[in-house]
Amino acid sequence: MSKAVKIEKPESIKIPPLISGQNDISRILLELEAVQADFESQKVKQQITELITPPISRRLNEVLDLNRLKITSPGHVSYLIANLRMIKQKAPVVHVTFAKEPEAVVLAKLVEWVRDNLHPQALVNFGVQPGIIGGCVFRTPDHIYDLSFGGKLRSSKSLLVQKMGAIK
Amino acid sequence: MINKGAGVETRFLIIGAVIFGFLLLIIILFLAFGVGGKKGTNKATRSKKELAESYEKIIQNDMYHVFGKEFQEELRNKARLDFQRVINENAMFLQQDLRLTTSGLNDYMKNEISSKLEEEFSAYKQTIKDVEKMAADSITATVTASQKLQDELNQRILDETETRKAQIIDSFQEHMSDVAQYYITQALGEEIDLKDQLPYILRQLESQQEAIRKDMWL
Repeated sequence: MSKAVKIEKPESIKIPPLISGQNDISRILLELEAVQADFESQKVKQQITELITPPISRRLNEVLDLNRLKITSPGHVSYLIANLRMIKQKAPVVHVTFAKEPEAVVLAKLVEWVRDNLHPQALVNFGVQPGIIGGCVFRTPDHIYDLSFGGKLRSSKSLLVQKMGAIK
Repeated sequence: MINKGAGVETRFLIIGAVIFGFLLLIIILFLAFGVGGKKGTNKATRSKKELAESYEKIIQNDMYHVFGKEFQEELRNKARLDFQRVINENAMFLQQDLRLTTSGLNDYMKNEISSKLEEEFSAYKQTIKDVEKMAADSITATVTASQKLQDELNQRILDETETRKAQIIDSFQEHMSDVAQYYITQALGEEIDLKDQLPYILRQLESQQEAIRKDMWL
């Protein structure tokens, strides 16, 4: 019934910029698992050759298109679930903090840069901290790169003190 | 001549009267003892005894019966005078002794009191001197201690002031960047667009790219 799916490089599954962090991966996985369960249910209930496709989200659709996979194929679904689980568990994760809620375009460009320059399957989590004023704080599991305006101000404190000391 | 003859006659008369009287006394005594003794010796003896007994009785009843009232009065006056005299003499002696004693006592008391007062005054003077010396020493010590305390207090105040000043400066310097950051955040935080910041962020990331890759073991 289900045909074997021909996948050239299963490990090199691509993730669209819309799916940035672990939460997005989890949502996709839930959706895929629901589809998979639905397929199993249909199989048990009736003998059909063509499975009925349930409605899927835009993000899942982008993942499928980007990787040339079909939702109607249980093999593709299983393959995607396995890879996404692996990505969720083992892909490098970075955390980026902005001063305010970032727009989707900004997030997408930042995720693109991370996946182009660091790792193609890297996951990027986002946070908001108004105290950093501007820029961002880029955090890896072991290090914090303070690229914010607030950090610039703190690092330039000696300059501020020097200027204030010059006032008489 | 006539007076001289009268004086001689007077003398003879006196001498003669004396002799006559003497003889008369002898006769009386003779008649009283000589005749009575011959007529009844027993009677006389008895009468004597009786007289003695009666006399004893009288004496027992009235011890002054033997003397006459006048004689008694005279004796009483004489005794009174003698007694008065003795009392006066003794009073005089007593007065003299008393005066001497009083005088001596006064001198003794004067000397004693003077010496005691001198001793007390000298002790009092010495005490006053000691107290003055102690007071002066105490005042000196107090002044020295207060001066030392004041110096220490001044030094402590200076140190505290310097420390507090340094703390205030440190605190100001420590929080100055926070103040500036807060000011900028409040003034511009919502105005800075992330799209405008994106080129800056990407430039910063590219400058840190190698470090990030090493850090992530990529």
